[in-house]
Amino acid sequence: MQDDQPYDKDWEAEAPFLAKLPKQRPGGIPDGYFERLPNQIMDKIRSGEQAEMPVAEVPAASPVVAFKSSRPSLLKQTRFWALAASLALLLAATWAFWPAAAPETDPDDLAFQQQFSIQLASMDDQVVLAALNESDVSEEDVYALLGADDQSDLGIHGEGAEVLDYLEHEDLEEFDLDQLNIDPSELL
Amino acid sequence: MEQSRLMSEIDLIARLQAPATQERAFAEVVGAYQEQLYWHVRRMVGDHDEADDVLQNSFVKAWRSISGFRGDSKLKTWLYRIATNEALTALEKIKKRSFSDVEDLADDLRHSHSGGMQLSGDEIQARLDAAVETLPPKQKQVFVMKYHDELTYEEMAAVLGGTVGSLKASFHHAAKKIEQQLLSH
Repeated sequence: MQDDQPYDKDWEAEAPFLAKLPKQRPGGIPDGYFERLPNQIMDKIRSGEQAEMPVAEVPAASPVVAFKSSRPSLLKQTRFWALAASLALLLAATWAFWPAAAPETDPDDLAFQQQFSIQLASMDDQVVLAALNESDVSEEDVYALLGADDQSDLGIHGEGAEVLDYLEHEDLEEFDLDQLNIDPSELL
Repeated sequence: MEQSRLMSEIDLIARLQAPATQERAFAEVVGAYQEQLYWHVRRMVGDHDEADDVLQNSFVKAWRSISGFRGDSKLKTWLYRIATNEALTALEKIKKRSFSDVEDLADDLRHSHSGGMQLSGDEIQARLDAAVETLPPKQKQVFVMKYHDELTYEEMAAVLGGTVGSLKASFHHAAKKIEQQLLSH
């Protein structure tokens, strides 16, 4: 990297003391830092790509749903998918309570909703997630249903198991389904 | 020698463009330039943790735009440009956080040594670091790239912009200022 051109050494005449100083590195580094760094960088790159991968490119084994959101960055987080999956379970369970929560509903609608809730409760999580994906449910709707602005408001910072644990301890009948404003028939 | 370096860089760039080989090729790039870029960034931002963040972000940014890299500049100068920009952004944040701390540190380092040529190696180094800290940001960059990283003026021009003449003048000016500070007190 040294420059062969003569003017590159000109400065040494103007700053002879500086020119004679031995060059030292400006401090230490942790042991094995440069051995670990390439893997850390490649891991960061791979995890970034995974988070940015469109739904169609994500391996089929991954339970993924893309909610319409004004805050897309949060959708990249694994924990949110766990929460979304939990919401699917929550919806399935909550619709089972729908008749009690909405006593003024038209009897015909009520019969449909009862039938719907039974059907929804028996549906595979991924089918529910796929249906939600086609709906207008936003990320804010998800959190609003849970009475929160975001996941941190729920005091949840962990992965799927912690989210499910949180939901298991909630009284599902307390959630106001009107906030979601979803026509159940649109999900089927 | 130069021809063989050029050929291997052309080959590397070709592998960086091909989906099947780009990840392995990029890992080679990281391995080849990480140390050089780390010390460049470390000298600019000072702290290891900060330098680590800057360096990792620089490589991630390089990866994201690697498909657009056509080899118009050398890989090294392209990476230097990315890392320098990242370091400058980090420096802005650090400056906002603790500008007065940096100034105080430089003052402390300057005033804590009074023995001139009798200073120990570490003390001289501390005084040099303090003197570099007092340079304006652009001049500091030029000084670090020339004095420590030993880049050529042409390489510096490719990274920083500007002409070889202006960079040379800037470096000479910085070197003289630092010399005066090292010899003062």
